[in-house]
This record gives sequence, C-alpha cells and structure tokens, in this order.
Amino acid sequence: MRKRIWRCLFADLSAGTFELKTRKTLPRKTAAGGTLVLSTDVLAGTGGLAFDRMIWQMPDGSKTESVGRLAAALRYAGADALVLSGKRKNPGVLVLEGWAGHVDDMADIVRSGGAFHEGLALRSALRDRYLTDDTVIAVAEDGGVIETGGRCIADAAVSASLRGMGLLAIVAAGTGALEVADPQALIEGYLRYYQEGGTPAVLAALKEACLGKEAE
Amino acid sequence: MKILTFDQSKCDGCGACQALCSLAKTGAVQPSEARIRIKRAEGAALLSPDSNAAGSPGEVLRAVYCQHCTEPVCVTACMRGIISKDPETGVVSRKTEDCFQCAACAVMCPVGAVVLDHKENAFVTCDLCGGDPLCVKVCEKGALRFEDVEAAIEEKRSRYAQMVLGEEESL
Repeated sequence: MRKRIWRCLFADLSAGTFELKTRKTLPRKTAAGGTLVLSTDVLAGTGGLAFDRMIWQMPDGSKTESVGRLAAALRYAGADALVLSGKRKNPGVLVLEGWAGHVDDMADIVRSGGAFHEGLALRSALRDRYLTDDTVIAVAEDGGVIETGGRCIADAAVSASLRGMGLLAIVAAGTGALEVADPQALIEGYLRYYQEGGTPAVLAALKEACLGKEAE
Repeated sequence: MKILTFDQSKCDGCGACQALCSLAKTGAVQPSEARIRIKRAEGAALLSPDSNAAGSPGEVLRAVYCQHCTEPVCVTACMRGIISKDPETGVVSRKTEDCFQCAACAVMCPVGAVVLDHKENAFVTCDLCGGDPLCVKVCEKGALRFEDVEAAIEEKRSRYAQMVLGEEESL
C-alpha cells in the first residue's frame, strides 16, 4: 500500500509564520521540545464522525487520541497535520482556511465581538466571529479542548499546552475539497461498512480507496 | 411518489451524508458543495419534541436539500429553461451543462437548497440519486429516510400532534 504523504501546516507562533509543507513522516519530538503536533487519520473527513480520528502529540512526546469534527475540518482546510511551536505574547486564535493559517489576537475579538469573559462567554464570542456551517471551533478550556457542538476532543493537558503557547482556540474553515485515489471504491467501501460493520477487511478497503495501491 | 425526509431529533451532525454526497457527485470529498447540507439553526426545534444531541444549547441541526416542490419556483425562474419537473416521479432535475450561473434559481429557492458546483460550473440540487439516495444509506442514526410522501406526512402529523398534546397535558 502506498505510504501517506502528509500535508503539514507548520505554525511558529513566536515568529508568526505559517508554512504548508508535504512530508513523508510526521515531525517527531524535537530536541528542545515545545512542539505540539495534531495529526489526522487517513480516513478523517471522508465519512462520518467515527472516522474523524486525530492524535495530539504533546511536547513531551506523549500522545492522546480522540474523535471530532476538527479532524475533518482541518483536512478540508488543506492540512493533514498541524505542527505548533513557539509561544505568543498575547492570547490568540489560530484560524485555518484556504490552505493557510493566521492568528487573530483575542483583544481584537473582544473589541468586535462585545463582552469577553472566560469559559462560556469565550465560546460565544468565537461563535459570533467565526462560526459558519463549514467551520469547526475548538476552544482550549480548563477541563479540555471543546469543539463546536460541545464535544470534548482533548484532555486538560492538551488544553493547558495550547494555552501555554498562547492559543485559546483553533478555528478550521473546512470549505476545500479532499481528493481521494478511488472515489467509487470509497463509496462502495462505506456502503459495506454501514452494512457489515468495521471489519478489518472493510477498513483496509477504505484506506486503499483513499490512498491508492501501488507496488512497495 | 417517494420523498427524502429528515428527523432532526436523530441527527448528530456526523457529516457522513454530506461527505458521501459530495464524493458521489463531484469525485472529491467537499461537504461545502454537497447537495444536502446540515446547517446549524438557532432556536428550539419546531416540529420535533426532542432537541438533537449535537447542537449547542439553543441550537438545532437541520438538513437543507431540494424539496422537489409541487410547483417549483426554480423552474419558472430559470432563464434558460433547463430545470424541469418530472410529472411521474416528481423529481426536479436540470441540465447542468447549459447553466450559465445567473443564480436566479438559487435566489428564488425558498429553502436555499441550490448549491454552486465549482467543478461543473453550474448551480445544482439534489436529484435523489436516481431514486436510490446515497445519503439515506449512510445515515447511521436513521435521521434521513426515503419514503412515500403519504407515510411521511402522516408521521409528521402524528409527531406534531403528540408534541402539542404532550404540552397540553403538562399544563
């Protein structure tokens, strides 16, 4: 089976730079640490919520796996993985759309969005500013990372890491297209999945339809 | 005649219908250009006694897709006359190759079901997949159903009556 090529968005929060690069492997833990990697499953965004898996790799190398619409929206926005490094001076919101990213200052959102308080009001301000039908907002709160719809997609440790980097939320505007190797085979694979369930053969067929097949 | 129906109390916003619809129609997964769209709407559910699980407080999910109206305004609005309604099946279809994107159908559509397909360079709507909708097959929760119009109306009527009677009883 063909190996996956990762579309990684490298975001250096200290410098405020964002670069989309393709990689054969995901970046590992750096010598100096301080890199948070959010990677998505190869089937994320191609089917239902059950396939929208993502892995958060913490700066210390530990990993947390979860399921949420952020994984799908991230891929529709053009990135399979998000590599965050550095630290912002002022709290901000990372916005991903159209194959690029930028950070909006929370202070600007406060000015345009009205009153700003921690917790629920933060979610409300972000919804007023960013929410559309194709947008997923993941907010780093005390108890964990909570995405649109109230789903918890990461634990408190990930949330603390994001806040430590100066990010209060990640917004992914998923309006782009996700190309797959064999659309017809993927449709047939999903029909099999909904009839037979997630057997290893079905899941292998789904992955093959996404990535394509070629000699090793 | 069969129609596509949506039960908002069962939808959890998983996105499978949009993803598979766009995949079947455009060859790529692009929910923003799917013929069926799951949208967030504020306020309580009007025709359903239960609020769905996926929405935030005060928010419900609703499906937007072509209703194949009895008297479709898009048919009369289309300046090229490429939209037609089949008198037997009731399906509203269009010849997309002749569309010049004037957007008259999109503006006139009462439910906002007309989508601009950037690959086809045309405005498109749900064509019910030729009578075998893919979105229904992949809806794990059973929120989308393809059923006889009489049965759908009867069920909606009884659900609404149940909701109203339930409220009266609680008073």
